[in-house]
Amino acid sequence: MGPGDFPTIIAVMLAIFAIWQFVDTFRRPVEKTETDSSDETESIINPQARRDIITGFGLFTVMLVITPFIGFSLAASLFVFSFVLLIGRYKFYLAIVIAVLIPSLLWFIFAFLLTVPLPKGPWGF
Amino acid sequence: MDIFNNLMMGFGVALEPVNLIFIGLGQLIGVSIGVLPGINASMAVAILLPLTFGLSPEASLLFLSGIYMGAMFGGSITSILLRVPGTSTAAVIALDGYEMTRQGRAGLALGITAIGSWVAGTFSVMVLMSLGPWLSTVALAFGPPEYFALIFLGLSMITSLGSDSLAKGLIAGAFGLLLGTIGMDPGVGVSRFTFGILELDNGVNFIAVLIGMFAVSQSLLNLKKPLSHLFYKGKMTGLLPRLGDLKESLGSIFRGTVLGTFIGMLPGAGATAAAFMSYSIEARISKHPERVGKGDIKCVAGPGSADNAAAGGALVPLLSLGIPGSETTAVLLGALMIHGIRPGPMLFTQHSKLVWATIASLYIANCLGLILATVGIRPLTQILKLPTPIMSAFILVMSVVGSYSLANSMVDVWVVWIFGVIGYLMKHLRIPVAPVILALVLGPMAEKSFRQSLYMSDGSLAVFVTRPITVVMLLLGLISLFLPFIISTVKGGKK
Repeated sequence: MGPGDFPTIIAVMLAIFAIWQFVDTFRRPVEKTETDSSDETESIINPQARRDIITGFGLFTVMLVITPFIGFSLAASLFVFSFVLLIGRYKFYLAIVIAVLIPSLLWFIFAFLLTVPLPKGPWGF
Repeated sequence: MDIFNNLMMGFGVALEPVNLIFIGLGQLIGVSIGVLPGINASMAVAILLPLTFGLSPEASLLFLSGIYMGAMFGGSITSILLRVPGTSTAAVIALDGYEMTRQGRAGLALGITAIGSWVAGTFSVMVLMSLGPWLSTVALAFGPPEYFALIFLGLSMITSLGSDSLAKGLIAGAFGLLLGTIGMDPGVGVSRFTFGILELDNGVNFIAVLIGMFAVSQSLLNLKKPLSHLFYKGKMTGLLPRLGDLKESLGSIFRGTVLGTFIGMLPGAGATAAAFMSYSIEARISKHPERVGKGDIKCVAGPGSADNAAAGGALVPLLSLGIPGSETTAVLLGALMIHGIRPGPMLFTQHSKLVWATIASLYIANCLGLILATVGIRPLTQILKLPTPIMSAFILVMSVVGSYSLANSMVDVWVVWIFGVIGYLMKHLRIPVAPVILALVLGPMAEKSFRQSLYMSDGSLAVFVTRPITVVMLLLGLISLFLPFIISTVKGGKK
């Protein structure tokens, strides 16, 4: 048995399960169970909530992209600032305060106490 | 008494001031996190795991199990007071618990939950203490085929118990297994599916997968419904139950405790299932069925004990066999591995100090929980005032820093991003997330023992059918996988 065999077996199994689920979907098209009431998975109806989630995810992505270039502290500050401003709809100055507090706290814990070499920008922080 | 000596040693370690502080800190963080809806125990343990890198193995495991136990109790506080279950486990407590609050018996509901949790925690730790060493001796005699069969059994229980649709559970499980094959293959050391990314040679870091699937996707989903202005204004009196109340709920506490402990030991079933089952038992055997759902103390006491008992029970397979049965115990396994400790049947003998300290710490955490419950409930409910956007922003940044510090690399951060997306889609499609995580952890172990078995038998699959223990476990696995399916098909046919 070589390195490729185990993944192949699983991949075939996954394909079978996927076909099973596919067929199942057509056999029982409307499936209303009592778990539908659980708010955890309820489908998004509210357009504003949907916009918030997409904005939040977009900002998160931007933070990851720019972190290696401008460093963690600045990227995180910018992220928190725009997140709180756009999604939380907080006042401008309040957003600035939060945007300074959260990254500083995490920087203190991880970079200072745990000495994790967090990504730095060209200006050394 | 060997167990007694070991336990004393465990208490010796756990009561060291530094360790005691970490247990208390973990408990406090755990309860606060449990109070917040949308953050569950496994997510909390995953994002806080990076904080423990600098600690000793003992301190970090004590800290994390403190969080674990605390989160269980915290979830029930908001369930009872506000009908906002902090954790999915506590959802069932909200049914009668909130009714009790409306009748002005909030203090009593919380008090009985705290006492039930304490009884449950103590009992499940006792089971862990007596069953754990025995199980690990049994498992020491296991060869690779038995180990493979055991993992197979665990995985099939996780997929069949953890989801309402078997096909979806299986898809999740197979997806996790496939993810587990990323990295260096355990036989000859060939890199698989790494696309030349060196960091992936050790496999996808499952802590990063977990942070992505739970923390990132959940904190985005939480934005859906703002929770502002939800806090308890009423008065809290009578936290300590009267003798009559205690007598009334004693039976429920015991039933919930025993049920929870044993359900917790089964892989995949977990605390939520235990709480729900306990509720339905209490509802069924109640002498006053008209009271059920209208603030029946028994229906609070039973599930309130069952969930904590399950949390303790889940540690049995983790510590004795090295096989996690729930997401949270999977994270604890990750914590052990980070400190270079290989979990498995050897744990009780090789790292007895660590294991017994953990067991003792669960005891201590239980008692601290009782104290915290009596003095801290009012301030704890204030946590709910924390606005969701700030909380989400904090968790998202925390996920980035936490995953970066796993290996000081951006690769893990992108793993978090990818699994944030996948986790979000899976929640949307109602595919269970837990089987993915557990299959990712157990998959490489399964492959390794599978291939070792084949080396033993020179490539013959007969090795899996000629050894009695292996056969029994494999059959049990198949049965647990397909029994629900067969039952539902038969039932459907009769219709």
